[in-house]
This record gives sequence, structure tokens and C-alpha cells, in this order.
Amino acid sequence: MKAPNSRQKRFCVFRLLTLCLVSMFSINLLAQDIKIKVNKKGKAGYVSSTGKEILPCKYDAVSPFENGLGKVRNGDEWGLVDTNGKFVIPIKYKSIIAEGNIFKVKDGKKYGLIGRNGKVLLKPDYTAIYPFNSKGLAIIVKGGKMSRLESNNKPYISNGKLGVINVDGNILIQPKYSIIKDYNQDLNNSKLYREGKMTTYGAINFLNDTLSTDGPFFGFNIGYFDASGGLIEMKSGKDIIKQGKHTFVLEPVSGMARWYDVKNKKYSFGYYNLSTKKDIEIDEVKGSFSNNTTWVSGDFMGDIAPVCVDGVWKFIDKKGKTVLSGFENVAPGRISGFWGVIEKGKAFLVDGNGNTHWRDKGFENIIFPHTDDANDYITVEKNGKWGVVDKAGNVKVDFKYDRADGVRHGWCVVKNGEKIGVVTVDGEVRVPIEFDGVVNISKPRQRYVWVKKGVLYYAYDVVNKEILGDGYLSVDNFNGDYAWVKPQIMHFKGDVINLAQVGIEGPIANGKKSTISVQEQFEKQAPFFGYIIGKDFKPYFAYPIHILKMKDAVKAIENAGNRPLTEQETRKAILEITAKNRKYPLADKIAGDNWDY
Amino acid sequence: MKTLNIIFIALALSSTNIASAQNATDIEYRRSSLYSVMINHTDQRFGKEIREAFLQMETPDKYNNHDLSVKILTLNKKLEDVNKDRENAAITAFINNNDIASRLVGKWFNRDQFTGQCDMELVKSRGLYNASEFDKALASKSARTEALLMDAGEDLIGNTYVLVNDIRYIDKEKGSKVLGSILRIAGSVASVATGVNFDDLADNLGDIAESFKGFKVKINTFLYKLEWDEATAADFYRNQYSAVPDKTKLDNFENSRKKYKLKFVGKVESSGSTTSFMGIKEDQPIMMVLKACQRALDENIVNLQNEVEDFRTKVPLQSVGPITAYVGMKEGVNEKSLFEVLEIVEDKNGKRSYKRVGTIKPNPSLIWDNRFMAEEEGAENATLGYTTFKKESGGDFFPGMLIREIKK
Repeated sequence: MKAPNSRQKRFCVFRLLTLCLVSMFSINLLAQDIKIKVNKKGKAGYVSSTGKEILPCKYDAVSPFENGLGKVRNGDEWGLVDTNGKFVIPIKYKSIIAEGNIFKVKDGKKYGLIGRNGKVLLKPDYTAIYPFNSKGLAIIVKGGKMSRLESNNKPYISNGKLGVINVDGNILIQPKYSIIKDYNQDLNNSKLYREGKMTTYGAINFLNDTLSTDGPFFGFNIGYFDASGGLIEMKSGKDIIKQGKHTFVLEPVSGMARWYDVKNKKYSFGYYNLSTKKDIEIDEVKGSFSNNTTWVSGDFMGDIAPVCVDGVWKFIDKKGKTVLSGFENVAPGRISGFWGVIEKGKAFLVDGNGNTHWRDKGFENIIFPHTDDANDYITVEKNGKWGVVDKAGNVKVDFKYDRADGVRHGWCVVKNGEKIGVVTVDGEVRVPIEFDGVVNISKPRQRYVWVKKGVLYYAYDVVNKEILGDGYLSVDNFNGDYAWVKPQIMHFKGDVINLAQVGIEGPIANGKKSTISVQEQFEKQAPFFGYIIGKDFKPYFAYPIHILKMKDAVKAIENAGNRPLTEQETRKAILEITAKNRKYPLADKIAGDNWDY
Repeated sequence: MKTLNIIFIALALSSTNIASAQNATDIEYRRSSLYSVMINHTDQRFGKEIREAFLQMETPDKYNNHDLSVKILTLNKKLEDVNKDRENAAITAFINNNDIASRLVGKWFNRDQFTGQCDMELVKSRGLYNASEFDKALASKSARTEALLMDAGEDLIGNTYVLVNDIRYIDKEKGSKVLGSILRIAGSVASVATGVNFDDLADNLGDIAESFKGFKVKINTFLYKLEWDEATAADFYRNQYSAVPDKTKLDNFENSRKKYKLKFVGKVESSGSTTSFMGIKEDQPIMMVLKACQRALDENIVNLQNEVEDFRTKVPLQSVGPITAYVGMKEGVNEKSLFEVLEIVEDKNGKRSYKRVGTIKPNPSLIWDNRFMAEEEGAENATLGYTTFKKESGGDFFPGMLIREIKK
């Protein structure tokens, strides 16, 4: 037989693609057209839009078709049919729940996985399978007991052994761990996007949570109450650091996992090198824990890590060999990619390879920037005065301030004497140095900067160079046209509404004063409640609103046409915002301000 | 005196295009107004889910939503005398203690609780009045003003109802009471600090999804009607209504709150039958709770309509050849139903009344199954879109004439 030429091959591929597309389209079209039919005896089946029988009406229940498959029940058991009425999964499972493109099935009391083609991917042998995360990973639980929280009747598993699977049903980590710690950092030291709500799965598992993402490592404990931990590699599913070897194992960074041991009145600390598979012990202290100064040491960045032994800082490499030593202090500067160190009163930089920079600059202190967009600027002290330099050491802000903070969005908070102001990285004064405090800059080119005079905060307009509005006890930066502030006196009528904003019922303050002083008692009980003001510094929402509900309040203001709300509108808005969480005992006379009319 | 047939003729639909034209030419008609509140049993499983479902339930489409800001009342035990077919002392006490009647009146006039300022916008829109003519008539302070206000009073404000729904999950697992605990308190504390509801960490809807057998609730519904007579209306318009902020009238209303009354008019209990999971997608188990509650509440509303003539809805005929209307099984229509056809009569001052001009019966094979999620569960006749009737008596009917069921 002759081998097909390239044209024939292309044609075959084309025909195959066409066939696939046609069949995909047909399935989708058909699935949309399939309807549930119930006969007079109440038995259900499926028919096409033209009335053609797909599945006879002889089942107790059927569900709407989803993704080309329909769920069919008889008695307590379920199966799945395709658009031809053919059973893909026979009626034998207590439940079938779609998990993306596969199905979680329950056989008796155990869960397993079945593919769309009916192939068993994971035998129903597990007490629970958590939902898959976006990377197709899920926790599985073997053994143990499903129980319910007395408080809210919600399910959890005790004494189960935890592992991890992927959507193909492959077991990546064998279910043999009582606790799994979901680390959230990759080898490049980047924090991964977090999906799950919890980072430790174990004694109480909320079964609707997902793994964080696909972090390459997990921590674990074999028993619930032992303090010893281990480390597993996701890819191989193997224990990297075996249980019991160390008391605590931290998340690996730059290929090195930090560990701590507390054993027989000895406190030791070191790193595990993931490449060489060797432990490096850095220090061991005997006797009282107060003698221990090693536990403040840090993770690796690049090839070195800072450690503190007997109160003196040094850098070690991945073999544990000292690269640099004799430092009084070390500060990490992730954004800038350096450590700042102080040696004999002089401050300079150390990079991830152990090279030093700025030794000859004569700096006395270093503060790294706070925001990524300011990664080129480092705040430094020289001859008792502070300024800002770039990474090359060029002076950007002259050394004329008594104190300066790390740079945020190109601006730097500076202090002279007791007074504070703001300068740009070009040295221009944005806020004069005459205030008692400045609220951190939260966005580039911020028009209004909150400054503190005495105990109150005021808005400083950096364009018109003037103070605007009233003084507030607490403030948040403007977000769009509005800002959350806590005025000196808030009108506070009623006792339930505010806490309902965060899902709680019950009185928020003692008594029912019509006006309450924040400083007296409200401060302690509800520090996150304030008003919403506009850029004209008038209250637009003059009722205590939780800072996290600001968006809802702003929506009400926008619905009213971006004007200050009347008292009635404010009340209606707050009642609307809290609708889901407000409930009242039937027997109570409900306070008047819980009513909109 | 004139009849309103002409305006409705203009809206008449041909019998062939009724379904497709349904949305474009829905005929507006006056509806009664409804405030629904639930009694939530915190001692029961699924209390939170039922509460959530109730908050998602929309006011039945044959009524106007007249909800107040309080929707959920809690009780951690069975409501005393809930099974007795009479006024319930605890519910009536709630209504009286909280001046519910006055609040319903306040809502009719969009009354500002802080200034006393009111308006007639809701009356105008629900009464289907021509806005400019209404304003003119109101300003004229003539007999027409009085007639308009009387019309609005009788036909609109006087048809304001409160439904108090005691909803209980029918629990096969006796003794599975929900108790307070340290975890609950811990969750509450965490919520204050973080704004995150501790309950969000887990839910028990999975229980419902997994059972997939059905869900059962029983609803006892107590119906109250707002009392709005000539004397009450006169006092309100004279001494409490003000189109501008007015301290005296503000105080007058506040001091008169107790004078407004709601009258108990009926009570029914749903059958408590199991609602099947048919039509529910597995990733939305809350829909199961919603379906069970909505079906039970619809059943109660039908039964209340049967008991209380005033509470019966009037809906317009959408076409007359064949005779069709947007009512169906949700409203309790069955093959035995008999409807009267009403002509709207408006006197020279604009006051409306209703005159019976005939009767119609549904065609048994063409009764629309418009129950909640009927279409999703594949119910027969779920896709009809309307019920078709046949004439029993009377002369010519026109689209827009109202029909009202005669007690079964």
C-alpha cells in the first residue's frame, strides 16, 4: 500500500476536523432541543423538540440536559444518558455531580470519579472528594468519619487520610496524611493566585473548599496532634522531608525549605536543600528558649539567605557555608531584589549572589520601596539626614530630612523635627512638611493626601495646595469620587442595623443614644464604621457604614444622581444593604429605624 | 358614564400572534398590593437556606410588590396554634405592635419619615392614571379630586394585603435541631473584624443536592387587609399628607400610626407535598428550596383567593378569538374553574367600577401550567404561554376586559 502524500494527509486532517466540528455541533444542537417529558403516571423521560422519544417515560426523575448529558433517577439511584438515550453511566449511584467535564459519583457512602465516556477514573473508595481547583487538582479523603458541626449542621470529616488527585483521576499524593498544608509560593518566589479559603486541611474540613492553586509543594502531618511536619513534592507525590524529621517545615523558597526543631530542650534551625536533598543545620541552642536568637532568620533569595546566630547576622550559601558575616542588621527588599545590611554603622546592599553594593557610599540606613512601581528608588540615611537614591546610588532626593519612609508610587513621606510632609522622587514638595502625620499614598498622582493635625485628619489638595473640609478621626483614601471617613461625632440612631452590615445581629452600642461619641465607646466596639464623603467634603452618606460596605453606599449615592442622600434615602439604603442579614424575633417590637416607612 | 372598551380594542391582538406578541403588548391593569413576610424557624435544619430562598422569591406577578424593609421574623419553636384556622395572636401582636398598617400607608405615599413629605407617584402609576390629568385633577380641588382620591382609595390602597408566612421544613430526621455553639460565636467575631461571613466557609446545600429526592416545606399563611375607609382617607389627606416638608403633618402622622389598622381576613395551610428535583440543576441546590417554597406559597395564595373574594386577582383578557388570558395552574385554574368577565366602567370624575358582562370556562386541554419551574421539569402545557377559555354566557367580549374567578 502506498503511503499518503502530503496533500492526501492534509485532506484527511481536514475531513477529520470537519467531522469533529459537525458532530460537536450536532450534539450541542440536539442537547438543546431535548425536553423532559412526564407521562400521566408521573414517570419521566426525554423527547426531542419534534416529539420523538429519546428515553421512554419510565423513570422517577430526569434532569435537564447539561453539556450533552442528562441525569436519570430510579428510586435512590442515578445514571447518565447521552443525547441518543444511551446510558453512559448506569443507574447505580446515590449521586452524580458534575465536576467540570467529569462526574463525581457516590456509591454507597464512598465517592469516585467517572469520565464523560463512562470510564471509571477513580474507584468510589473515598469519603470525600473536594471540588477541583482551576488547575484540575483536588483533595481526596480516605477513611475517617463524616460528621456535622453542631452549630450549623455543616459536614466535616474527622480522622480521614488526605491526598491529592488530578482531573484524570490520577493520585498525585497518596491519601496517607492527616493534615495537608497548602503552600502558596512557587520556586521563583512568586505568590500564587489563591483560590481556596483555607491553607490547612485536616481536623475540620469544609468540603466546598478548593486547593490554593498548583503549588509544587505541600506540608503535611501524619497525626493531628503531633507537632512534627514533613514536605511533599506535588509532581512526584513523594515525601521530600519525612514526617518526624523536623518539628516545623516552612514553604520552600529558592529551592530551600526552612525548618525548625524543638527536641529535648534543644532548639535548632536550618534549611533543606531540595536539589542536594541534604539538610543544613545552622545553629542549635540548649536550655531556655529565651537563649534562642536563631529563629528570626530568613528565606533564601537567589543563592544566599540571612541567618542570625548569637545576635550577629551573616549570609550562608546553599551548602551552609558562610558567604558574608558580621552584620548588625539585615532587611529584605523583595521589590528591589536586595538585602539591606548594616555593618559597623554603615549600610549597603547585598544581592542574591552575595555581591555587595554601595559599600563606599557612606550610608547609615536603608529603607526599601513599598510599591512595585517604585522599585528603582531606595530611601537612605547619610550623615544623619535622609534622602532617596536610585539603585545605581544617584541622589534623587537630597539628604535634608530627619527621617523618610520607603517610596510609594513615586512619592516619599518625609519628616523634619516633629513635622511630616511628602516629596516626590524628583525632590519636589507635594505636601508641606508641617503636619503631625500623613496617611500612606495609595495610588499614583493622588490629588488629595490625608494629613494629620493633632488627633484629626484633613484632606490636603496637592494641586491647589490647601487644606479642605473637616477634621476626621479616621480616614481612608478616596476611591473614585468618594472616601470613607470617621467623623468626630456620628449620628447613630438604633441598635441593630450596623452590625447587620457584617452579618451579625444584636446591639452595637450601649443604650439607644441618638448621637454617640466615637471616642467614648463606639470606637472600641465598631472601629470600622464611618460616613462616605464626596470630593466637596460634604457627607453623602451620613450614617455609620462599615468600611467594607462602602461600595454599596456609593451605589446608592450614584443611583440618587451623585448627590448627598437625604436621611430617608440613607435609611432606605442601609436597610437595603442589610436586608439579607436582618431578622427580628417575632415577639419583639422592632425599633423604628429598622423600618423604611 | 363611559366604558373603557375602546382603549382596549386598540390593544387587541390577533389570535395567531398572541404568543409572540405577548411581551410587547402586555395589557396593564390594576393589581392588589402585597407585603410578604416570613416566620423563619431558627430551630430547624435548612433555616438559613429557606430564609435565603424567601428573600429571592418575587411578589406574584398578579400583585404589586408593597414590601417593607422587615422581611424575616424569627422563632425558635413551633408557632403556637399555627394549625388552627383562625387569627394567630402572636402574628396579630406583631402587626399591631409594629404599626404595620401605618407603614403600608406611608409606602403608598412615599412618605419621608424625617420631613413628612409625601407624593402621589405610586398611586398614579399603580392606578394607571394619566399623570398630567391626574395632577390637574388633584390641583383643581373639585368633586373630581374627591372622586379620584376615592377611586384610588377603594381600588388601590384598600386592596393592600399582608401575607405572613410561617415556613417549616418537614424534617424526617427528628431532633436535628440547630444549636448555638462556640464556633458560631467565633464566626460572628470574625465577621465583625473581617466582614466575611463565617458561614460562607461551608454550606449544607450539598445535602440537598446529594439527596436529589425532593424537598418538603409546609407554609401556614395568614392574610391581613389594610382598612382604608373614607374617614381614614379624609383624615390622612387633610391632616397628614403634605407635598412639602411639614413638621405639623409629620407629627400628626406619627401620632396617628395606631389608628391605621389591618384586619385578619383568612388563613390557609399548604399541603406539604414533596417538591421534586425535576428541572433543578445540580449546581443550584438553593433552587430546590426556592421551588418548594414558591410552589407552597402559590398554593396558599390560590386557596386564600378562594376564601377571600376581595383578594382574588382580576386579569385582563389578552384576546377574544380565541379567548385567552395569562392565568394558569399557578393561579389555581383547573377544568372546574369558572370566571366572570368584567367591564370597567368609569364615571365622569374618573372613578372606576366593575360590571359583570359574562362568564367563561377554561378549555381543559389548554390550561397553561405556569407553576414555578414547570417548563424546566417538562410539565405538560408548560409552554402554552396562556390559558384558552370558552364562553359560558354573555355578549361580546373585548381584549382588556378583566376576568375574575368565581369561587369554586
